[in-house]
Amino acid sequence: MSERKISCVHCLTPILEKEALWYEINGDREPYCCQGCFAIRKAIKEANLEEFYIKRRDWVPGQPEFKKVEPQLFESCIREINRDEKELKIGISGIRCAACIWLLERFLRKKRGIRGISINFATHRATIRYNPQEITLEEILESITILGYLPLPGITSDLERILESEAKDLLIRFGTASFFSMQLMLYTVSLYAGYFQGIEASLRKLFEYLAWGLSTPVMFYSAQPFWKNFFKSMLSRHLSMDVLVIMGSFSAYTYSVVAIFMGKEVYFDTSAMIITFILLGRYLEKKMQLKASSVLRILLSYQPKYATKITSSGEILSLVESLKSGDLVVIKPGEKIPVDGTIVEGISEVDESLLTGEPMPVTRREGDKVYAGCMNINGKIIIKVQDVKETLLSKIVQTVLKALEEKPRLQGIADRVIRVFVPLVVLIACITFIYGYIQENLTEGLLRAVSVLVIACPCALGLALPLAFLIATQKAYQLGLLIRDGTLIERVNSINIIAFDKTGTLTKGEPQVKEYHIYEEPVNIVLQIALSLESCSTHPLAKAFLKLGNREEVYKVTDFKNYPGRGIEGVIDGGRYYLGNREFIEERIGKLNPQVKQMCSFYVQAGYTVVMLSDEKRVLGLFVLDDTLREEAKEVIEELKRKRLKTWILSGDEEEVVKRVARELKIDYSVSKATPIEKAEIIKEWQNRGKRIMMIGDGINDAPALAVSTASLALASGVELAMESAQGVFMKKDLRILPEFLSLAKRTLKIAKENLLWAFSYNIIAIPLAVTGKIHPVISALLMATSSILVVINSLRLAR
Amino acid sequence: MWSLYFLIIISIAMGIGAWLWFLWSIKSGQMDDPEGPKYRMLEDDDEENSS
Repeated sequence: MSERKISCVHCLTPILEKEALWYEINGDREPYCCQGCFAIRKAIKEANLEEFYIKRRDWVPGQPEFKKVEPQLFESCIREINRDEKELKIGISGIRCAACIWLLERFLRKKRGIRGISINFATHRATIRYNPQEITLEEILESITILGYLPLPGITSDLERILESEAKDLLIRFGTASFFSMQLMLYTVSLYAGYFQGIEASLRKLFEYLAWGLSTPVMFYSAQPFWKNFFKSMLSRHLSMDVLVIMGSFSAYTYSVVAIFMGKEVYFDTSAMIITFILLGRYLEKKMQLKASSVLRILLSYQPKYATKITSSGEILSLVESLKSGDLVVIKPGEKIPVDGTIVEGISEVDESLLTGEPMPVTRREGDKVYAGCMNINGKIIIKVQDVKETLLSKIVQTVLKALEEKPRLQGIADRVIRVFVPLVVLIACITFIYGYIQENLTEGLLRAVSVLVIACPCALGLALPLAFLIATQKAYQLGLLIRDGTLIERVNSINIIAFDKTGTLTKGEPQVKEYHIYEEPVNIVLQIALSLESCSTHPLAKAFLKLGNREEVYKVTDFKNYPGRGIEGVIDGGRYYLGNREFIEERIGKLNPQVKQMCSFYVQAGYTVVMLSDEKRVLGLFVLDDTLREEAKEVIEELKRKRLKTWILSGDEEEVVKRVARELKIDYSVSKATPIEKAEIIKEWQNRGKRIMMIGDGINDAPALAVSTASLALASGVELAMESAQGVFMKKDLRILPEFLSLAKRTLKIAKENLLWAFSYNIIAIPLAVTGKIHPVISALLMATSSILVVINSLRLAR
Repeated sequence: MWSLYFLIIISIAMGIGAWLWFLWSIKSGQMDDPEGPKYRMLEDDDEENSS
């Protein structure tokens, strides 16, 4: 029988031809993967928006969301504008491409009572204005869910909201600073021209006053964030970049004010320019952080934040946060467990690999505990929610938060430079004062000393690091790595050990058939029986069997039964077959023969999972399953060795398995059976001994280790905690990004150091001139512009 | 000379005008979605606007 693959017309998910549902819309019979997709297509057709299917080019195949939501959850998202207009602000999950936004906006606009809708392309947040007399909140939410998208209340995280308002504030300050600086330039250039060609004294005075007026808002409004940090640094006696910025710009400003009355040259442009440039750098940095946090939120919002609660009036979807202990929650096969609890009904296999590092699913039955974040595989279970505060997850979260709080601040190159440079400048200024006082007089000495401070702060300093890091962040993003923490690039340059998690990081986290022993001829028929049985199952182990034979020609299986945690059975061509673990087979056919038994114990001891196929009398085959390594793992580890980095494995899995993986990959050191907290402690201990460790992991059990290590990267596994503990996230599950990123980071740091050198080259020329009293605003402006341009050009080299 | 003062006043007024316009554009949320316009400009079937 044929098993041709086709794809659903709506969601493009590949399906088997025989499983497809065929429906007719405007005369054409089309295949669908499910009822839901058909309903969506019908809704789109009825709204006359079929252009959606032409528009979507970058749609990622995958099933839409089919969940209903409780309108009460969204009440806090509504703001009343006036009596007949309300505004609803929500997040929308399930948006895959630009056409999705087009569809949602068009679809909703056609509804009666919708006054306006706009969806942000970057953050997937929607603002909907509507007339409550004409359309209800419920109807609005329904028209979003009918298209296969999921509305989410309160989608913005606190961090993101803070970052957003900070970025906006910086943009206003930077914008203001640049408008005033541009105006200021008109008069400054005139003054420069006057210096060369001669200028009427009254006009010169006028221009100087104007320059004073224009630079004042820049100095006291735009520079406010620097002032705040300046006072903070002064109080804590810790030198920072902001100290240098304020020192340079404010001394330039006061010097110039005094200079107007003394008939000397003014430096208002220097003061305003420093602030403008450094604000630009700060703004770019904030934008990077904001982008990282919203990309992360979009990655995470695919995860359910809802739980299906059983109430007296039936099953309803409610927010996980609103659950109380004692509530009953239903978890269907294939769903993530939303909260810790004890099973009160049902039996299922649970994939706990993200929590324990154990790749094979474990059977959980009535009375067993299940933990939030694990995957329910094949049985419907009902759990009773336990104490919501003291869950296993919350304990790990606390450790992570504590570690993140205690994480030592990075002493970056900027800090190190500042700590040498600022005292040096002050010292030079003092010497200049004494020298000028002895040579000329008190005023001349004072003026020269201040002019040293004036030219001490280069504009280009503000751009030197942010620009290089910005370009590197974008480059990394193209590679498939999202940088959450700007210090990551500097941090990875200092590491000497890379510690990997095993399950899901070095391995695929999905089991595959490693070996099989067939006891009956012909072998290919036996394999085909195993494949046919497993093709009826949704179990993760089943996927492993699909590669064994010909998927196009599976046998017809009737009377298929699934025993969660044990095995499956089915009738093929009149014969009944069993496939499952040892106990399951022994239960069906009695004692195993010694040869099979010995083989079975051998593999189990070596840390493998064994599955057997039998008919009603004998064992036909024995399959050895193992979590296979990622194809690229070996090559990546070799490359890391070439970079003279030590590699470790920190795993929660059994010793035999971990040792075997370590041997296969030639990894230097391995730790097995480590709990999440132990992983973190091992890293801490070695870091205290002076090693710098980068942790790479993907699960909840890696989160504490990710948080304590010097640098950390998480694989995008959908585990919120892991991604939020790490400083960067792999957006593709491909380890090859790692060595590429290490080289990029190395190159970036080199460029950043060169940038600093170019920025300070201005000082190397200008300070001696200031010491001897030969400096002039024209020279300082010219040098400043040159060093800034050099920094920009040098940073752009990274983009190639 | 008066023409010079006049020009200075005009240039400052224009500068401040542009600055206020910039502030208004941020406050009214025009800078919130830098991604959107590049897709929206390709949509030519705005029946809502024409009707």
